[in-house]
Amino acid sequence: MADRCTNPNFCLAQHEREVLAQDPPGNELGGDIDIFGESVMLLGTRASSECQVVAPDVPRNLLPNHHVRNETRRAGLLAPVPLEHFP
Amino acid sequence: MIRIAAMADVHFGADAVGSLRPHLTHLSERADLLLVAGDLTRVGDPTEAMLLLDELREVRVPIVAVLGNHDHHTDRAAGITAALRGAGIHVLEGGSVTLDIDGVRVGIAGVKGFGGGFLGACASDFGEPEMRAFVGHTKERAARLEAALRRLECDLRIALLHYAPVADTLKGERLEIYPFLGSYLLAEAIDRAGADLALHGHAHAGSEQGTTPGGVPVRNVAQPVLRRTLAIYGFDDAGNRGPIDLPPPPELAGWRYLAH
Repeated sequence: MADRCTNPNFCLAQHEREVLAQDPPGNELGGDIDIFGESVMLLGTRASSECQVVAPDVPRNLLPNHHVRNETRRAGLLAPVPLEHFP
Repeated sequence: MIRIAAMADVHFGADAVGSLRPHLTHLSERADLLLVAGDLTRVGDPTEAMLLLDELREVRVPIVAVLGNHDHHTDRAAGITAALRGAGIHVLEGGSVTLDIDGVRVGIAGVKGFGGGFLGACASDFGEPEMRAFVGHTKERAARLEAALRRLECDLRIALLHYAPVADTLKGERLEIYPFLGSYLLAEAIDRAGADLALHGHAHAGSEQGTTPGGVPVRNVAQPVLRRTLAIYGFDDAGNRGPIDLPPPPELAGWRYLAH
């Protein structure tokens, strides 16, 4: 992986994160973005399937010449809830 | 046994309607109260809070919440607080509430908290007004938390925050962003005043379990960390841990910091 300090895509990805953070439909949860060459990869979890679907809209609009890969996951909240016991 | 359900970082919005309710409908069979450690809304819109309230309407146990950074994003935190309080939720920001649960007095002191970092890698209350304001905000919130905890007269004492008081529960996050996820000043406040449990959210990629330097259990209940709707913590014996004998913060705190 290229050194972040010398990789111009690192700054681009950071600007993308800022815009994503301002985007109400797509900003959560725990989203992240990586840019490799002309590929944009969206990572992390989204609160709903709707949120997951719209997440690539921001990078597609900002970087129309890049290929956007949506690798986000839907946040899974269905796991059973164990009880942690404090004596 | 007192059973405390806790969750954080719900980030509720219009597209999430119906997703939470099924997990909370029968909560009273599993828990005695529900604590929400901030980021109830996605962008701090009171209409998002109203949607969340509709989702919570079947919850039959007391609910206590603090707001998170998302709830402040559009500068309408007061509207969110009013909506939540109107529905009977206790919203704390430097305050406390004591609930009687089957004869056990459960005290909750709550504050959003703020960032600043942890020992060895902290922002310093020095230099530009913006930096002093940043650290000053954390100091002020930590002081409020300590005062609120000290005021509590109860059997079980809980500190409820959005930002993390310890680095333990940030493991998994990138080290570079720790100063934006919490502050050791919050842990100091908790240890000085004493608590049985501290809960927080905010760090989505962090870890669930940690401990303050004084030994108070800390739990990160952000939903992405839990990978479920909420966590439940049970207390057999309400301990009411007393204050821990820590030295007061020094007048000149420069020794704490690596850089100015």
